Amino acid sequence: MTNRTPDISFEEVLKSLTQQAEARWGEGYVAEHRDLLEQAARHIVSVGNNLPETETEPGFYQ
Amino acid sequence: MPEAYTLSVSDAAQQVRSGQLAPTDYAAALLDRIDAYELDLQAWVTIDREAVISDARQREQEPSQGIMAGVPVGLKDIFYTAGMKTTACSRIYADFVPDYDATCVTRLKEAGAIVMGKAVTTEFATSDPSPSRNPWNQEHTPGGSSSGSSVAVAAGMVPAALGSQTGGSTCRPAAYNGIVGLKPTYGRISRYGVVPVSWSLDTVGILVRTVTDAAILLQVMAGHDPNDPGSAEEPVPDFREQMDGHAGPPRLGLLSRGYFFDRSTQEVRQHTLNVADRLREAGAVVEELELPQSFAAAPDVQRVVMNVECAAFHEKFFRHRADEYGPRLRANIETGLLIPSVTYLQAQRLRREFRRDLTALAERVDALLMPATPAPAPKDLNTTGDAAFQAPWTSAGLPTVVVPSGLSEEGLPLGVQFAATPFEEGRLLGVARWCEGVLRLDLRPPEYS
Repeated sequence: MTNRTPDISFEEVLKSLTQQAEARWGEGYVAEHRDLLEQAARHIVSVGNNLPETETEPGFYQ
Repeated sequence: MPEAYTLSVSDAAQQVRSGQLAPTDYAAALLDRIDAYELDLQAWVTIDREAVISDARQREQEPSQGIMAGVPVGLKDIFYTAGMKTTACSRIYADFVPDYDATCVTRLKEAGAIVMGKAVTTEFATSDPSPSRNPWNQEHTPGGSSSGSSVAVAAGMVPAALGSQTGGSTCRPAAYNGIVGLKPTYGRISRYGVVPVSWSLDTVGILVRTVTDAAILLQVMAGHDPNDPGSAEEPVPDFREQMDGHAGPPRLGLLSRGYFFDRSTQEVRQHTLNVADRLREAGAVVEELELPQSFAAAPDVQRVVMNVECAAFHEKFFRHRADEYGPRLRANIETGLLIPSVTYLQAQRLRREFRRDLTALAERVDALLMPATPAPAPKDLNTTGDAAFQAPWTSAGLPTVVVPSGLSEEGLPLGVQFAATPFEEGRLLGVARWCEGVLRLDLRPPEYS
């Protein structure tokens, strides 16, 4: 069983990251690090939209 | 008699064992070379000249000599060395002096190797560029994070050095500096006593000038270590014997569709196709293979895992000393602190799927073949280059080796990268050595030859 349907919105993820960053490091940080937050959001969306088979367990040590 | 600095590990150790080369003379010759070029290339953090000569003298007096008898080796400055600073080229570890050697350092010493010193790394083996310079052209990056190790080997300061790879930190600088880089299977070499970037990705890497030398260092360091939770219990074969078993023309899977060629310059694409043609003419069977669907998310998965684990390792220091970190590493840590735990776990699940799919692909041939980097070393000292062609393999834990394969129009090294199934380094190195023999290159940076 797989779940590969895109269902996570980049805008929602970015908004959530921005709020967290603002709470941790302030408004100035968010303004200065927009590119960084967008890149992190893209990574999160990419992972969220390519979920593995449900039987797959994490493999920390390969 | 060739100059000492041109000797491979294999030739130097053989000459030491036969009495043709005194370890003290060899070490002194390499130290002189470091003295001559270090100001230009900035490959080293710490060298204890007296300790090197003293160790070499001791090697001369030992009755039984190992397979690396009297051979000096450089260590990236993240490998613990008892009594010698291990700074990770950071302000945080600036005064750290371990009281024990990393397991792989112990094994090198037991095989007769001499620690030449600690080589420059990018800060904490991540992506803020180091001061090291590319001996092929100092306006171009030497790559990273194993920058000093790669430069030292390319410039003939040592015949071998240790690096590490979490994204592309061994095989990418190997390609940029025209040398051989081996990233073994995850877990093959112990990381006990190695400053971590990301526990589930970090792999000890080998930087040398010949494929045979890569096999020698792997033989010395491979094997289970109960002190490293990621260390594999897989038996250690005789890698050189396995290489000999794969001495004939191999079956290669050329990854010329999609990811690797889409990201390469026209020059790199054409060069890789030319290399494939030469190997085919020499008897290799070369077939084009398609990457699995799970490859699409691989680079993002690697970034998520690396940033989160990096943040976890540094959190304690970072809380109070954030200003002492370089901007790129600081960004990695901050990103890692923001990524949700569920995303991290999903990334680890995806890695497992990805490893399964890539292993199935690699099982179809003796080795997969692709360009080593999207382009030669960039003319930009504010970057360590692009790790896109290494990160997916590091994430999957599969072994890869980079072999120099020519020069670009600008006179910079180009390389090809081979990948194989997990724990098949003997086969991988056999393929790489056969290709090395077909290509017959002896790349040396002109100003340091």
